[in-house]
Amino acid sequence: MNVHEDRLTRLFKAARRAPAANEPSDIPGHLETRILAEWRSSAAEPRGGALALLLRWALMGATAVMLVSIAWASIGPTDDSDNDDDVANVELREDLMP
Amino acid sequence: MSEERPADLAGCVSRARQRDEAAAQTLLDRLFPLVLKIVRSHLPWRTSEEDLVQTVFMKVFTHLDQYEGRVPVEHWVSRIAVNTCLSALKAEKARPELRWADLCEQGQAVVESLVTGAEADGGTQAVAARDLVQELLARLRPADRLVLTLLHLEERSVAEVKALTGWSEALVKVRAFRARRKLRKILSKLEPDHECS
Repeated sequence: MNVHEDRLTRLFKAARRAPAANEPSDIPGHLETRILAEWRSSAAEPRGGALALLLRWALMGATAVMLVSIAWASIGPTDDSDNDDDVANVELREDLMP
Repeated sequence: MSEERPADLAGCVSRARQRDEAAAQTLLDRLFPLVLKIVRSHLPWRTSEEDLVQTVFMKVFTHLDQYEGRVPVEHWVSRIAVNTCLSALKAEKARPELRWADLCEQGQAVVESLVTGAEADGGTQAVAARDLVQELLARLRPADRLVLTLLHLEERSVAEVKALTGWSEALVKVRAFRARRKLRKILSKLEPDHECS
């Protein structure tokens, strides 16, 4: 095990001696343009995000109204006496059969 | 001059938050060498260096609001760069096992010199050794690869690795120990006597 550890240590030591690659100190123009363009386009995203947020709230509101309507229809007053036809029928019946 | 630099960068960060393009450009110009160095040290296989640099800078710009000024801008950006590289390494597909026959002539010479105990001679073998180390590291898990690169190639301290990665000191040490053990195993399989047996 020590032999392999020693070989690994020597390998790292040799690797560290390798000359560093030439690193440009200036960002290439095309890369800078690309990054800045993406940065600018990301600035436009919040407006799209706001629209998406607005749409989301609108959808949630519409869903809430729909649910309330369904609930009202199912558990709300079921007395049919308000129905004009029924009222008329009752009155007619009373007229015909006093 | 060097005293002004961190303050300048922090000022650029503030102005870039307000969508000041000149400030963003200054940040790019100043931080590019640092980001490029990190990206080159941890570049995944078949990944474009420029694409990764762009990803790092976009993360920096996206998270400008999160910079609190408690550490120098360079440290904050280094950490983003290291973590971006780590994510990219995680997405990299596993490479096939490295065999003696896969090594180039210089790589084989390096392994032979390790076995015989001969010292590496000159820059050519040093470059071959560095390439071999990269080949070996590429067979490790991304976090293992990262910790060994930082500790043994870039010769950073455990505290520096902790600051760059956000891992605890204990995690850095344990990960480095285990990664070295794995690397020893891969290297031992690569030696010519192992291939023959």
